[in-house]
Amino acid sequence: MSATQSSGPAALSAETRQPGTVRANRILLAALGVLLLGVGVLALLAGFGAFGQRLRLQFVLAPSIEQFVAASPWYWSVVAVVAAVVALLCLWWLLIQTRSDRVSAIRVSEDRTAGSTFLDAGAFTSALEAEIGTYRGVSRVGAYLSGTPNRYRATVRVALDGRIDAGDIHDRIVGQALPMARNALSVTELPFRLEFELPKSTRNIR
Amino acid sequence: MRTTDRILSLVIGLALFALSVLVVVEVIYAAVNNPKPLFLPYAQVAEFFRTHSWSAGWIVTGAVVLALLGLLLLVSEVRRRRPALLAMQSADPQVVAGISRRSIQRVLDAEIGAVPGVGKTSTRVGRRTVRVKAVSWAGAPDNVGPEARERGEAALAGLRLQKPPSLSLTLRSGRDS
Repeated sequence: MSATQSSGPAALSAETRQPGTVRANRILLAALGVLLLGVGVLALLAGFGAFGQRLRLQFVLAPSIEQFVAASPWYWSVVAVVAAVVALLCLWWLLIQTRSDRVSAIRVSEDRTAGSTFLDAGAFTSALEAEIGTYRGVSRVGAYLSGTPNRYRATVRVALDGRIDAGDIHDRIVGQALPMARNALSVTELPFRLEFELPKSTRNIR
Repeated sequence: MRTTDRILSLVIGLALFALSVLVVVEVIYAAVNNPKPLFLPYAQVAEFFRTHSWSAGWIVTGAVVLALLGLLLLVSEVRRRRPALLAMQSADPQVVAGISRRSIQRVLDAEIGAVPGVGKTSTRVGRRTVRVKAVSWAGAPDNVGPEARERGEAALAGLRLQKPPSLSLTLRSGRDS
């Protein structure tokens, strides 16, 4: 077994096609939660008389509001502008759901006069899957690249059958598959993420 | 949760987008001297709010529903999410490796469930602690608890995790089977 490093995070969050979208969804949904909670609580306070008995018994759409709207010719224009802004924000929100950081081609060389050479990411990941798939103890492999054509990271999901420990498969991938991958891409550095799925038991198959 | 968030975002985004576009269309439509709204039931909605006070039952119920929905949404988004994987030790600084929580749960369920005298197990894997609840049969060997713990701890140690979580084992006596 090779030397192992003991620093680093204790846990990893799930991989996602677009971390920015996950963050945006979380922020916007939380903001919507705050808005709904605020409106609900204020309406409840008004309904239970926290702002005075007069407001409690007043109609929600009071005549004074209708008079104000009728006396303000700019009112509906402001409503339209606000609705247009909300529509644009929603359109952006919907469009970012389709984003993905998966890489379909990686740049293997760049020459200002001769141009750039790209390698199909699928060809690379298929070769990687084929290599790891031959290791004893591995039942299924899936790999993909994420990032940009210039700066990418390989993620490999390995399902084990229980004959070999995850640690030993990890060492074999780091010792054999990773150097092979770096060699194939002619790079010295290639960030790698390995995700292991274990079977129910590791004791009966060995 | 990410999938739920994505579905919620799509549904809410689509609904709000459609409503906002309709509002813009209605305002423009009304501005060119059309007294009746095109799609939105503005008159009915206005009439409802014109005839219901802040203390009316429907308004209070609506406010409660809004507040609860908002609270639910806020709490679910703000709450710290459980990790998908627990990190493994790695020899290469450029390699990040992890084992899924579900895998760890399966392994511990199988390992502790295989101890003679232990029946059903249920495991929850957290960042720092793995909680296993197991049911022991009546008439199970006396050492069932220590053996289950030993097996669970050995299984956890064998995973070569970066920071192995501690094992919390609760053994409950079940009926004779």
